[in-house]
Amino acid sequence: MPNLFELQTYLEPLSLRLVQRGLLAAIVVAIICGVMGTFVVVRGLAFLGDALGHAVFPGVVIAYLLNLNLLAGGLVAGLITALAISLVGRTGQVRESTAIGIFYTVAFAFGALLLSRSRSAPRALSELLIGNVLAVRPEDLQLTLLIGGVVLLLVWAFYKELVLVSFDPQQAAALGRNVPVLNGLLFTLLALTIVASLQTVGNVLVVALLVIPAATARLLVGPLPAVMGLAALLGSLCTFAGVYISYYADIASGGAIVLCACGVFFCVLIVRSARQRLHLGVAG
Amino acid sequence: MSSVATSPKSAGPACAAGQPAVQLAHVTVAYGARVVLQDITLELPSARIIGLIGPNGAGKTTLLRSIVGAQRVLEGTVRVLGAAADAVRQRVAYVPQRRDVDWSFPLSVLDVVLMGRYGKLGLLRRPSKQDRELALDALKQVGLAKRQACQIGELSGGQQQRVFLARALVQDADLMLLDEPFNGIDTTTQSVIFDLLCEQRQRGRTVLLSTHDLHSVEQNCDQLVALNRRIIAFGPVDQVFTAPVLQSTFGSQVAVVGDGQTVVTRN
Repeated sequence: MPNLFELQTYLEPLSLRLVQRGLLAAIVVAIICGVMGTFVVVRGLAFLGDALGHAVFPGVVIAYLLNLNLLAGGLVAGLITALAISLVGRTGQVRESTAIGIFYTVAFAFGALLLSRSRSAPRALSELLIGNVLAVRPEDLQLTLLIGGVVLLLVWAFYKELVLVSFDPQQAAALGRNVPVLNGLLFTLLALTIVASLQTVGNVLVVALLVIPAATARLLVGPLPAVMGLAALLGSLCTFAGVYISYYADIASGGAIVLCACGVFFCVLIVRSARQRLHLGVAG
Repeated sequence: MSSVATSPKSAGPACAAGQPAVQLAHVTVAYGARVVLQDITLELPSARIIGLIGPNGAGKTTLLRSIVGAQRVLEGTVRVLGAAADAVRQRVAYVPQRRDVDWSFPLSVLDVVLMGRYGKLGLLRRPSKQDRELALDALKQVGLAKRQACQIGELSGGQQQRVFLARALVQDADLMLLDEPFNGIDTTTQSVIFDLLCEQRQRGRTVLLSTHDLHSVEQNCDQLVALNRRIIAFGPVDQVFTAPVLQSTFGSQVAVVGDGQTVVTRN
Protein backbone atom coordinates (compact mmCIF):
# COMPACT_ATOMS: atom_id res chain seq x y z
CA MET A 1 0.00 0.00 0.00
CA PRO A 2 1.59 3.30 -1.10
CA ASN A 3 1.73 6.21 1.34
CA LEU A 4 -0.97 8.66 0.23
CA PHE A 5 0.69 11.60 1.99
CA GLU A 6 4.00 11.38 0.20
CA LEU A 7 4.56 13.39 -2.94
CA GLN A 8 6.66 10.57 -4.33
CA THR A 9 3.53 8.40 -4.50
CA TYR A 10 2.08 10.79 -7.08
CA LEU A 11 5.29 11.58 -8.95
CA GLU A 12 6.61 8.07 -9.38
CA PRO A 13 4.06 6.86 -11.97
CA LEU A 14 4.45 10.10 -13.91
CA SER A 15 8.12 9.39 -14.53
CA LEU A 16 7.08 6.59 -16.86
CA ARG A 17 6.43 7.48 -20.49
CA LEU A 18 3.75 4.82 -20.54
CA VAL A 19 1.78 6.42 -17.71
CA GLN A 20 2.25 9.95 -19.07
CA ARG A 21 0.84 8.90 -22.41
CA GLY A 22 -2.05 6.93 -20.94
CA LEU A 23 -3.00 9.65 -18.50
CA LEU A 24 -2.97 12.34 -21.18
CA ALA A 25 -5.14 10.21 -23.50
CA ALA A 26 -7.53 9.37 -20.66
CA ILE A 27 -7.95 13.01 -19.67
CA VAL A 28 -8.67 14.08 -23.25
CA VAL A 29 -11.28 11.33 -23.32
CA ALA A 30 -12.77 12.46 -20.00
CA ILE A 31 -13.09 16.02 -21.28
CA ILE A 32 -14.90 15.13 -24.52
CA CYS A 33 -17.02 12.58 -22.66
CA GLY A 34 -18.07 15.34 -20.24
CA VAL A 35 -19.09 17.63 -23.11
CA MET A 36 -20.83 15.01 -25.25
CA GLY A 37 -22.22 13.26 -22.16
CA THR A 38 -24.09 16.44 -21.27
CA PHE A 39 -25.96 16.14 -24.57
CA VAL A 40 -26.51 12.44 -23.85
CA VAL A 41 -27.98 13.17 -20.42
CA VAL A 42 -30.21 16.12 -21.31
CA ARG A 43 -31.55 14.37 -24.42
CA GLY A 44 -31.88 10.95 -22.84
CA LEU A 45 -29.51 9.34 -25.37
CA ALA A 46 -27.84 6.86 -22.99
CA PHE A 47 -29.23 3.99 -25.04
CA LEU A 48 -27.74 5.42 -28.25
CA GLY A 49 -24.40 5.84 -26.49
CA ASP A 50 -24.48 2.21 -25.40
CA ALA A 51 -25.47 1.15 -28.90
CA LEU A 52 -22.65 3.07 -30.58
CA GLY A 53 -20.23 1.59 -28.05
CA HIS A 54 -21.20 -1.87 -29.23
CA ALA A 55 -21.44 -0.87 -32.88
CA VAL A 56 -17.74 0.01 -33.12
CA PHE A 57 -16.91 -3.63 -32.29
CA PRO A 58 -17.12 -5.19 -35.79
CA GLY A 59 -14.96 -2.38 -37.19
CA VAL A 60 -12.33 -3.07 -34.56
CA VAL A 61 -12.39 -6.80 -35.34
CA ILE A 62 -12.12 -6.25 -39.10
CA ALA A 63 -9.26 -3.81 -38.58
CA TYR A 64 -7.52 -6.39 -36.38
CA LEU A 65 -7.95 -9.18 -38.92
CA LEU A 66 -6.70 -6.96 -41.74
CA ASN A 67 -3.89 -5.58 -39.58
CA LEU A 68 -5.17 -2.00 -39.81
CA ASN A 69 -5.49 0.67 -37.13
CA LEU A 70 -8.10 -0.61 -34.65
CA LEU A 71 -9.46 2.81 -33.74
CA ALA A 72 -9.86 3.79 -37.39
CA GLY A 73 -11.80 0.57 -37.98
CA GLY A 74 -14.01 1.27 -34.97
CA LEU A 75 -14.60 4.80 -36.16
CA VAL A 76 -15.81 3.68 -39.58
CA ALA A 77 -18.15 1.08 -38.07
CA GLY A 78 -19.51 3.60 -35.53
CA LEU A 79 -20.17 6.19 -38.21
CA ILE A 80 -21.89 3.70 -40.52
CA THR A 81 -24.13 2.58 -37.65
CA ALA A 82 -24.94 6.16 -36.62
CA LEU A 83 -25.83 6.95 -40.23
CA ALA A 84 -27.99 3.82 -40.56
CA ILE A 85 -29.86 4.64 -37.34
CA SER A 86 -30.62 8.20 -38.36
CA LEU A 87 -31.68 7.14 -41.89
CA VAL A 88 -34.04 4.44 -40.64
CA GLY A 89 -35.35 6.75 -37.89
CA ARG A 90 -36.01 9.36 -40.58
CA THR A 91 -38.38 7.11 -42.54
CA GLY A 92 -40.83 7.39 -39.67
CA GLN A 93 -41.73 3.71 -40.06
CA VAL A 94 -40.15 2.58 -36.78
CA ARG A 95 -39.28 4.37 -33.55
CA GLU A 96 -35.73 5.58 -33.24
CA SER A 97 -35.12 3.38 -30.18
CA THR A 98 -36.19 0.38 -32.27
CA ALA A 99 -33.78 1.37 -35.05
CA ILE A 100 -31.00 1.68 -32.45
CA GLY A 101 -31.86 -1.70 -30.95
CA ILE A 102 -31.70 -3.36 -34.35
CA PHE A 103 -28.50 -1.84 -35.66
CA TYR A 104 -26.29 -2.14 -32.64
CA THR A 105 -27.12 -5.77 -32.03
CA VAL A 106 -26.65 -6.56 -35.72
CA ALA A 107 -23.28 -4.82 -35.67
CA PHE A 108 -22.24 -6.60 -32.47
CA ALA A 109 -23.38 -9.98 -33.81
CA PHE A 110 -21.37 -9.36 -36.98
CA GLY A 111 -18.33 -8.56 -34.88
CA ALA A 112 -18.77 -11.72 -32.79
CA LEU A 113 -19.13 -13.77 -35.97
CA LEU A 114 -15.92 -12.36 -37.43
CA LEU A 115 -14.07 -12.91 -34.19
CA SER A 116 -15.11 -16.56 -34.02
CA ARG A 117 -13.29 -17.13 -37.32
CA SER A 118 -9.96 -15.96 -35.96
CA ARG A 119 -8.00 -18.62 -34.10
CA SER A 120 -7.24 -17.12 -30.70
CA ALA A 121 -9.25 -14.58 -28.76
CA PRO A 122 -6.70 -11.80 -29.15
CA ARG A 123 -5.67 -9.84 -26.11
CA ALA A 124 -5.70 -6.56 -28.06
CA LEU A 125 -9.43 -6.94 -28.61
CA SER A 126 -10.30 -7.72 -25.01
CA GLU A 127 -8.39 -4.58 -24.07
CA LEU A 128 -10.71 -2.57 -26.26
CA LEU A 129 -13.72 -4.04 -24.50
CA ILE A 130 -12.62 -2.96 -21.03
CA GLY A 131 -9.81 -0.55 -21.79
CA ASN A 132 -6.23 -0.32 -20.63
CA VAL A 133 -4.70 3.09 -20.13
CA LEU A 134 -1.19 1.62 -19.95
CA ALA A 135 -1.49 0.07 -23.40
CA VAL A 136 -1.89 3.40 -25.19
CA ARG A 137 0.70 3.63 -27.98
CA PRO A 138 2.07 6.94 -29.32
CA GLU A 139 -0.04 6.70 -32.49
CA ASP A 140 -3.16 6.01 -30.35
CA LEU A 141 -2.43 9.14 -28.35
CA GLN A 142 -2.10 11.14 -31.55
CA LEU A 143 -5.44 9.87 -32.82
CA THR A 144 -7.10 10.57 -29.45
CA LEU A 145 -5.76 14.12 -29.44
CA LEU A 146 -6.93 14.63 -33.01
CA ILE A 147 -10.43 13.29 -32.27
CA GLY A 148 -10.62 15.31 -29.06
CA GLY A 149 -9.71 18.48 -30.92
CA VAL A 150 -12.20 17.83 -33.72
CA VAL A 151 -15.05 17.07 -31.30
CA LEU A 152 -14.45 20.16 -29.16
CA LEU A 153 -14.05 22.40 -32.21
CA LEU A 154 -17.29 21.19 -33.83
CA VAL A 155 -19.27 21.44 -30.58
CA TRP A 156 -17.94 24.97 -30.14
CA ALA A 157 -18.78 25.96 -33.72
CA PHE A 158 -22.26 24.43 -33.80
CA TYR A 159 -23.09 24.85 -30.11
CA LYS A 160 -26.17 26.99 -30.65
CA GLU A 161 -27.55 24.68 -33.37
CA LEU A 162 -26.91 21.50 -31.35
CA VAL A 163 -28.67 22.99 -28.31
CA LEU A 164 -31.58 24.23 -30.43
CA VAL A 165 -32.13 20.90 -32.14
CA SER A 166 -31.85 19.10 -28.80
CA PHE A 167 -34.30 21.33 -26.94
CA ASP A 168 -36.86 22.17 -29.61
CA PRO A 169 -36.51 20.39 -32.98
CA GLN A 170 -39.80 21.90 -34.18
CA GLN A 171 -38.45 25.42 -33.72
CA ALA A 172 -35.23 24.34 -35.43
CA ALA A 173 -37.22 23.09 -38.43
CA ALA A 174 -39.37 26.23 -38.47
CA LEU A 175 -36.21 28.37 -38.57
CA GLY A 176 -35.07 26.40 -41.62
CA ARG A 177 -32.41 24.30 -39.89
CA ASN A 178 -31.90 20.80 -41.28
CA VAL A 179 -32.87 18.75 -38.22
CA PRO A 180 -31.74 15.30 -39.52
CA VAL A 181 -28.34 16.71 -40.52
CA LEU A 182 -27.85 18.35 -37.12
CA ASN A 183 -28.89 15.17 -35.31
CA GLY A 184 -26.51 13.27 -37.61
CA LEU A 185 -23.73 15.66 -36.59
CA LEU A 186 -24.48 15.03 -32.91
CA PHE A 187 -24.49 11.24 -33.42
CA THR A 188 -21.22 11.46 -35.37
CA LEU A 189 -19.57 13.43 -32.59
CA LEU A 190 -20.83 10.81 -30.15
CA ALA A 191 -19.36 8.02 -32.29
CA LEU A 192 -16.02 9.88 -32.43
CA THR A 193 -16.02 10.27 -28.66
CA ILE A 194 -16.70 6.59 -28.16
CA VAL A 195 -13.91 5.55 -30.50
CA ALA A 196 -11.49 7.85 -28.70
CA SER A 197 -12.52 6.16 -25.43
CA LEU A 198 -11.80 2.62 -26.63
CA GLN A 199 -8.21 2.52 -25.36
CA THR A 200 -8.83 4.00 -21.95
CA VAL A 201 -12.20 2.78 -20.68
CA GLY A 202 -13.25 0.40 -23.45
CA ASN A 203 -16.37 0.34 -25.55
CA VAL A 204 -18.66 -1.14 -22.90
CA LEU A 205 -17.71 1.17 -20.05
CA VAL A 206 -17.70 4.32 -22.18
CA VAL A 207 -21.40 4.82 -21.52
CA ALA A 208 -20.57 5.23 -17.83
CA LEU A 209 -18.02 7.93 -18.60
CA LEU A 210 -20.57 9.67 -20.83
CA VAL A 211 -23.48 9.50 -18.42
CA ILE A 212 -22.11 9.58 -14.85
CA PRO A 213 -20.01 12.80 -14.80
CA ALA A 214 -22.69 14.69 -16.76
CA ALA A 215 -25.46 13.40 -14.48
CA THR A 216 -23.42 14.40 -11.43
CA ALA A 217 -22.76 17.87 -12.84
CA ARG A 218 -26.44 18.24 -13.67
CA LEU A 219 -27.22 17.77 -9.97
CA LEU A 220 -24.79 20.51 -9.00
CA VAL A 221 -25.09 23.35 -11.52
CA GLY A 222 -27.78 24.91 -13.71
CA PRO A 223 -26.66 26.38 -17.05
CA LEU A 224 -25.74 24.01 -19.87
CA PRO A 225 -22.15 25.27 -20.43
CA ALA A 226 -21.52 24.93 -16.69
CA VAL A 227 -22.82 21.35 -16.74
CA MET A 228 -20.41 20.59 -19.62
CA GLY A 229 -17.45 22.19 -17.88
CA LEU A 230 -18.09 20.54 -14.54
CA ALA A 231 -18.71 17.15 -16.17
CA ALA A 232 -15.37 17.45 -17.98
CA LEU A 233 -13.65 18.42 -14.74
CA LEU A 234 -15.24 15.65 -12.67
CA GLY A 235 -14.46 13.11 -15.38
CA SER A 236 -10.82 14.26 -15.49
CA LEU A 237 -10.43 14.04 -11.70
CA CYS A 238 -11.96 10.55 -11.62
CA THR A 239 -9.69 9.55 -14.50
CA PHE A 240 -6.67 10.78 -12.57
CA ALA A 241 -7.72 8.87 -9.47
CA GLY A 242 -8.64 5.80 -11.49
CA VAL A 243 -5.30 5.67 -13.30
CA TYR A 244 -3.36 5.91 -10.02
CA ILE A 245 -5.48 3.22 -8.40
CA SER A 246 -5.04 1.06 -11.46
CA TYR A 247 -1.27 1.62 -11.37
CA TYR A 248 -0.79 0.72 -7.72
CA ALA A 249 -3.43 -1.98 -7.36
CA ASP A 250 -2.69 -3.42 -10.79
CA ILE A 251 -6.36 -3.51 -11.80
CA ALA A 252 -8.16 -2.56 -15.02
CA SER A 253 -8.04 1.21 -15.51
CA GLY A 254 -11.46 1.47 -17.17
CA GLY A 255 -13.17 -0.16 -14.22
CA ALA A 256 -11.27 1.94 -11.69
CA ILE A 257 -12.16 5.20 -13.49
CA VAL A 258 -15.84 4.31 -13.75
CA LEU A 259 -16.09 3.19 -10.13
CA CYS A 260 -14.54 6.47 -8.99
CA ALA A 261 -17.07 8.43 -11.05
CA CYS A 262 -19.85 6.28 -9.67
CA GLY A 263 -18.68 6.93 -6.09
CA VAL A 264 -18.71 10.70 -6.68
CA PHE A 265 -22.18 10.49 -8.21
CA PHE A 266 -23.68 8.66 -5.25
CA CYS A 267 -22.00 11.00 -2.73
CA VAL A 268 -23.51 14.01 -4.52
CA LEU A 269 -26.88 12.32 -4.82
CA ILE A 270 -27.00 11.40 -1.13
CA VAL A 271 -25.87 14.83 0.06
CA ARG A 272 -28.40 16.54 -2.19
CA SER A 273 -31.26 14.30 -1.17
CA ALA A 274 -30.39 14.77 2.51
CA ARG A 275 -30.25 18.54 2.09
CA GLN A 276 -33.52 18.56 0.22
CA ARG A 277 -35.16 16.53 2.95
CA LEU A 278 -33.73 18.85 5.58
CA HIS A 279 -35.04 21.80 3.62
CA LEU A 280 -38.52 20.31 3.37
CA GLY A 281 -38.44 19.47 7.07
CA VAL A 282 -37.67 23.07 7.96
CA ALA A 283 -40.26 24.42 5.54
CA GLY A 284 -42.94 22.04 6.79
CA MET B 1 -67.83 22.76 -47.18
CA SER B 2 -70.39 24.74 -45.22
CA SER B 3 -72.30 27.60 -46.74
CA VAL B 4 -70.78 30.02 -44.24
CA ALA B 5 -67.39 29.75 -45.84
CA THR B 6 -66.77 33.21 -47.17
CA SER B 7 -64.22 34.77 -49.40
CA PRO B 8 -61.54 36.47 -47.34
CA LYS B 9 -62.04 39.59 -49.43
CA SER B 10 -65.24 40.25 -47.49
CA ALA B 11 -63.43 40.08 -44.17
CA GLY B 12 -62.82 43.80 -43.81
CA PRO B 13 -61.28 46.84 -45.40
CA ALA B 14 -57.78 46.38 -43.89
CA CYS B 15 -56.92 43.34 -45.96
CA ALA B 16 -57.27 45.28 -49.15
CA ALA B 17 -54.00 46.97 -48.17
CA GLY B 18 -51.89 43.80 -48.18
CA GLN B 19 -51.71 40.51 -49.94
CA PRO B 20 -53.13 37.44 -48.17
CA ALA B 21 -50.89 36.22 -45.34
CA VAL B 22 -51.35 32.57 -46.23
CA GLN B 23 -52.61 30.91 -49.40
CA LEU B 24 -53.16 27.18 -49.48
CA ALA B 25 -54.34 25.54 -52.70
CA HIS B 26 -55.49 21.91 -52.69
CA VAL B 27 -53.03 20.95 -49.97
CA THR B 28 -52.98 17.28 -48.97
CA VAL B 29 -50.71 15.91 -46.25
CA ALA B 30 -50.32 12.25 -45.34
CA TYR B 31 -48.23 10.31 -42.84
CA GLY B 32 -47.60 7.08 -44.72
CA ALA B 33 -51.01 5.89 -45.87
CA ARG B 34 -52.92 7.99 -43.35
CA VAL B 35 -54.25 11.21 -44.84
CA VAL B 36 -54.18 13.97 -42.24
CA LEU B 37 -55.19 16.94 -44.34
CA GLN B 38 -57.23 16.59 -47.47
CA ASP B 39 -57.57 19.14 -50.24
CA ILE B 40 -57.18 22.24 -48.09
CA THR B 41 -57.82 25.45 -49.96
CA LEU B 42 -57.67 28.52 -47.80
CA GLU B 43 -56.72 32.17 -48.09
CA LEU B 44 -56.01 33.96 -44.81
CA PRO B 45 -56.07 37.78 -44.86
CA SER B 46 -53.29 39.76 -43.20
CA ALA B 47 -53.55 41.84 -40.01
CA ARG B 48 -56.06 39.52 -38.40
CA ILE B 49 -56.19 37.20 -35.43
CA ILE B 50 -57.48 33.95 -36.80
CA GLY B 51 -58.51 31.00 -34.69
CA LEU B 52 -58.04 27.44 -35.91
CA ILE B 53 -60.52 25.11 -34.26
CA GLY B 54 -61.11 21.42 -34.56
CA PRO B 55 -61.09 18.26 -32.44
CA ASN B 56 -57.97 16.30 -31.50
CA GLY B 57 -56.51 14.66 -34.60
CA ALA B 58 -58.16 17.17 -36.92
CA GLY B 59 -54.77 18.13 -38.37
CA LYS B 60 -54.39 21.54 -36.69
CA THR B 61 -50.71 21.07 -35.85
CA THR B 62 -50.02 19.59 -39.29
CA LEU B 63 -51.65 22.58 -40.97
CA LEU B 64 -49.51 25.02 -38.94
CA ARG B 65 -46.37 23.00 -39.68
CA SER B 66 -47.18 22.95 -43.39
CA ILE B 67 -47.47 26.73 -43.41
CA VAL B 68 -44.12 27.17 -41.65
CA GLY B 69 -42.47 24.76 -44.09
CA ALA B 70 -41.62 22.14 -41.48
CA GLN B 71 -44.04 19.61 -42.93
CA ARG B 72 -43.75 18.26 -46.47
CA VAL B 73 -47.01 18.46 -48.35
CA LEU B 74 -47.98 15.61 -50.62
CA GLU B 75 -49.99 17.69 -53.04
CA GLY B 76 -50.97 21.30 -53.54
CA THR B 77 -49.15 24.57 -53.02
CA VAL B 78 -48.44 26.65 -49.94
CA ARG B 79 -47.73 30.37 -50.35
CA VAL B 80 -46.83 32.42 -47.30
CA LEU B 81 -46.72 36.24 -47.42
CA GLY B 82 -46.85 35.97 -51.19
CA ALA B 83 -43.85 33.65 -51.52
CA ALA B 84 -42.82 30.04 -51.05
CA ALA B 85 -42.59 29.04 -47.36
CA ASP B 86 -38.84 28.44 -47.63
CA ALA B 87 -38.21 31.94 -48.89
CA VAL B 88 -39.94 33.76 -46.05
CA ARG B 89 -38.96 31.67 -43.03
CA GLN B 90 -37.48 34.66 -41.26
CA ARG B 91 -40.81 36.48 -41.42
CA VAL B 92 -42.75 33.61 -39.86
CA ALA B 93 -42.68 32.72 -36.16
CA TYR B 94 -43.89 29.34 -34.96
CA VAL B 95 -44.75 28.49 -31.37
CA PRO B 96 -45.03 24.74 -30.82
CA GLN B 97 -47.15 23.22 -28.10
CA ARG B 98 -45.64 23.74 -24.68
CA ARG B 99 -45.73 20.04 -23.85
CA ASP B 100 -43.64 19.21 -26.95
CA VAL B 101 -40.39 20.25 -25.28
CA ASP B 102 -38.61 19.05 -22.15
CA TRP B 103 -38.76 21.93 -19.66
CA SER B 104 -36.17 20.34 -17.39
CA PHE B 105 -33.58 21.11 -20.10
CA PRO B 106 -30.80 23.19 -18.47
CA LEU B 107 -31.48 26.51 -20.18
CA SER B 108 -32.26 29.94 -18.79
CA VAL B 109 -35.32 31.96 -19.76
CA LEU B 110 -33.12 34.34 -21.75
CA ASP B 111 -31.42 31.41 -23.56
CA VAL B 112 -34.78 30.22 -24.87
CA VAL B 113 -35.92 33.67 -25.99
CA LEU B 114 -32.59 34.19 -27.80
CA MET B 115 -33.40 31.13 -29.93
CA GLY B 116 -35.91 33.39 -31.68
CA ARG B 117 -32.94 35.32 -33.10
CA TYR B 118 -31.21 32.25 -34.55
CA GLY B 119 -33.06 32.53 -37.87
CA LYS B 120 -31.50 35.94 -38.51
CA LEU B 121 -28.14 34.94 -37.04
CA GLY B 122 -27.39 32.10 -39.42
CA LEU B 123 -25.23 29.07 -38.69
CA LEU B 124 -22.00 30.03 -37.01
CA ARG B 125 -22.65 33.45 -35.48
CA ARG B 126 -23.42 33.92 -31.78
CA PRO B 127 -26.11 36.21 -30.38
CA SER B 128 -24.78 39.76 -30.04
CA LYS B 129 -25.43 42.31 -27.32
CA GLN B 130 -28.17 43.76 -29.49
CA ASP B 131 -29.84 40.34 -29.75
CA ARG B 132 -29.76 40.12 -25.95
CA GLU B 133 -31.35 43.53 -25.65
CA LEU B 134 -34.11 42.56 -28.07
CA ALA B 135 -34.70 39.33 -26.14
CA LEU B 136 -34.87 41.20 -22.86
CA ASP B 137 -37.29 43.65 -24.43
CA ALA B 138 -39.56 40.79 -25.51
CA LEU B 139 -39.39 39.38 -21.99
CA LYS B 140 -40.47 42.77 -20.65
CA GLN B 141 -43.49 42.68 -22.95
CA VAL B 142 -44.61 39.35 -21.52
CA GLY B 143 -43.83 40.48 -17.97
CA LEU B 144 -40.95 38.11 -17.31
CA ALA B 145 -37.92 40.42 -17.48
CA LYS B 146 -37.11 39.79 -13.82
CA ARG B 147 -36.94 36.06 -14.42
CA GLN B 148 -34.48 36.19 -17.35
CA ALA B 149 -31.77 34.27 -15.49
CA CYS B 150 -34.10 31.59 -14.11
CA GLN B 151 -33.90 28.00 -15.30
CA ILE B 152 -36.95 27.31 -17.47
CA GLY B 153 -37.90 24.34 -15.31
CA GLU B 154 -38.62 26.70 -12.39
CA LEU B 155 -41.43 28.47 -14.27
CA SER B 156 -45.14 27.77 -14.08
CA GLY B 157 -47.00 26.56 -17.16
CA GLY B 158 -48.35 30.01 -17.93
CA GLN B 159 -44.90 31.55 -17.60
CA GLN B 160 -43.43 28.89 -19.90
CA GLN B 161 -46.06 29.76 -22.51
CA ARG B 162 -45.14 33.43 -22.16
CA VAL B 163 -41.44 32.57 -22.67
CA PHE B 164 -42.42 30.84 -25.92
CA LEU B 165 -44.45 33.90 -26.91
CA ALA B 166 -41.46 36.16 -26.16
CA ARG B 167 -39.32 33.92 -28.38
CA ALA B 168 -41.84 34.44 -31.20
CA LEU B 169 -42.02 38.21 -30.58
CA VAL B 170 -38.23 38.56 -30.80
CA GLN B 171 -38.36 37.10 -34.31
CA ASP B 172 -40.15 40.27 -35.38
CA ALA B 173 -42.27 38.16 -37.72
CA ASP B 174 -45.14 39.21 -39.97
CA LEU B 175 -46.97 35.95 -39.43
CA MET B 176 -47.23 34.23 -36.07
CA LEU B 177 -48.43 30.66 -35.78
CA LEU B 178 -49.30 29.42 -32.30
CA ASP B 179 -50.15 25.80 -31.56
CA GLU B 180 -52.53 25.46 -28.59
CA PRO B 181 -51.15 28.47 -26.70
CA PHE B 182 -53.91 28.28 -24.09
CA ASN B 183 -53.45 24.67 -23.10
CA GLY B 184 -53.38 24.38 -19.32
CA ILE B 185 -52.80 28.05 -18.52
CA ASP B 186 -54.72 30.45 -16.28
CA THR B 187 -57.11 33.10 -17.56
CA THR B 188 -54.77 35.93 -16.54
CA THR B 189 -52.01 34.61 -18.78
CA GLN B 190 -54.58 34.07 -21.50
CA SER B 191 -55.60 37.72 -21.47
CA VAL B 192 -51.95 38.84 -21.32
CA ILE B 193 -51.29 36.77 -24.44
CA PHE B 194 -54.35 38.08 -26.28
CA ASP B 195 -53.40 41.68 -25.46
CA LEU B 196 -49.99 41.11 -27.00
CA LEU B 197 -51.51 39.44 -30.05
CA CYS B 198 -53.88 42.39 -30.53
CA GLU B 199 -50.86 44.69 -30.47
CA GLN B 200 -49.28 42.56 -33.21
CA ARG B 201 -52.47 42.86 -35.25
CA GLN B 202 -52.38 46.64 -34.91
CA ARG B 203 -48.91 46.59 -36.39
CA GLY B 204 -50.29 44.77 -39.40
CA ARG B 205 -49.15 41.32 -38.35
CA THR B 206 -51.21 38.19 -38.81
CA VAL B 207 -51.79 35.65 -36.05
CA LEU B 208 -53.06 32.13 -36.59
CA LEU B 209 -53.62 30.13 -33.42
CA SER B 210 -55.01 26.68 -32.89
CA THR B 211 -57.06 25.88 -29.84
CA HIS B 212 -59.85 23.74 -28.58
CA ASP B 213 -60.89 26.42 -26.08
CA LEU B 214 -63.89 27.61 -28.07
CA HIS B 215 -64.86 30.26 -25.55
CA SER B 216 -61.60 32.20 -25.89
CA VAL B 217 -61.59 32.18 -29.70
CA GLU B 218 -65.17 33.36 -29.91
CA GLN B 219 -64.31 36.42 -27.82
CA ASN B 220 -60.89 37.30 -29.17
CA CYS B 221 -60.52 36.22 -32.78
CA ASP B 222 -61.55 38.09 -35.91
CA GLN B 223 -62.00 35.01 -38.01
CA LEU B 224 -62.21 31.29 -37.52
CA VAL B 225 -61.14 28.26 -39.49
CA ALA B 226 -63.08 25.13 -38.59
CA LEU B 227 -60.94 22.13 -39.50
CA ASN B 228 -61.48 18.41 -39.38
CA ARG B 229 -59.07 16.92 -41.95
CA ARG B 230 -60.78 19.23 -44.43
CA ILE B 231 -61.97 22.79 -44.11
CA ILE B 232 -65.46 22.69 -42.62
CA ALA B 233 -65.87 26.45 -42.62
CA PHE B 234 -63.91 29.67 -42.75
CA GLY B 235 -65.06 33.21 -42.14
CA PRO B 236 -65.90 35.86 -39.53
CA VAL B 237 -66.47 34.46 -36.05
CA ASP B 238 -70.23 35.03 -35.96
CA GLN B 239 -70.63 33.06 -39.17
CA VAL B 240 -68.45 30.10 -38.21
CA PHE B 241 -69.36 29.91 -34.56
CA THR B 242 -72.76 28.39 -35.23
CA ALA B 243 -74.38 25.17 -34.14
CA PRO B 244 -74.33 23.42 -37.53
CA VAL B 245 -70.65 24.23 -38.22
CA LEU B 246 -69.49 23.27 -34.74
CA GLN B 247 -71.42 20.06 -34.85
CA SER B 248 -70.03 19.04 -38.19
CA THR B 249 -66.52 19.96 -37.01
CA PHE B 250 -66.54 18.36 -33.60
CA GLY B 251 -69.25 15.72 -34.09
CA SER B 252 -70.38 14.23 -30.81
CA GLN B 253 -67.71 16.12 -28.84
CA VAL B 254 -69.84 19.24 -28.88
CA ALA B 255 -73.26 19.99 -27.45
CA VAL B 256 -75.03 23.12 -28.49
CA VAL B 257 -77.51 24.38 -25.94
CA GLY B 258 -80.51 26.65 -26.46
CA ASP B 259 -79.93 29.51 -28.87
CA GLY B 260 -76.68 28.09 -30.14
CA GLN B 261 -74.54 30.47 -28.06
CA THR B 262 -73.56 28.04 -25.34
CA VAL B 263 -71.17 25.36 -26.33
CA VAL B 264 -69.89 22.59 -24.15
CA THR B 265 -66.99 20.54 -25.41
CA ARG B 266 -66.50 17.09 -24.10
CA ASN B 267 -62.85 16.22 -24.35
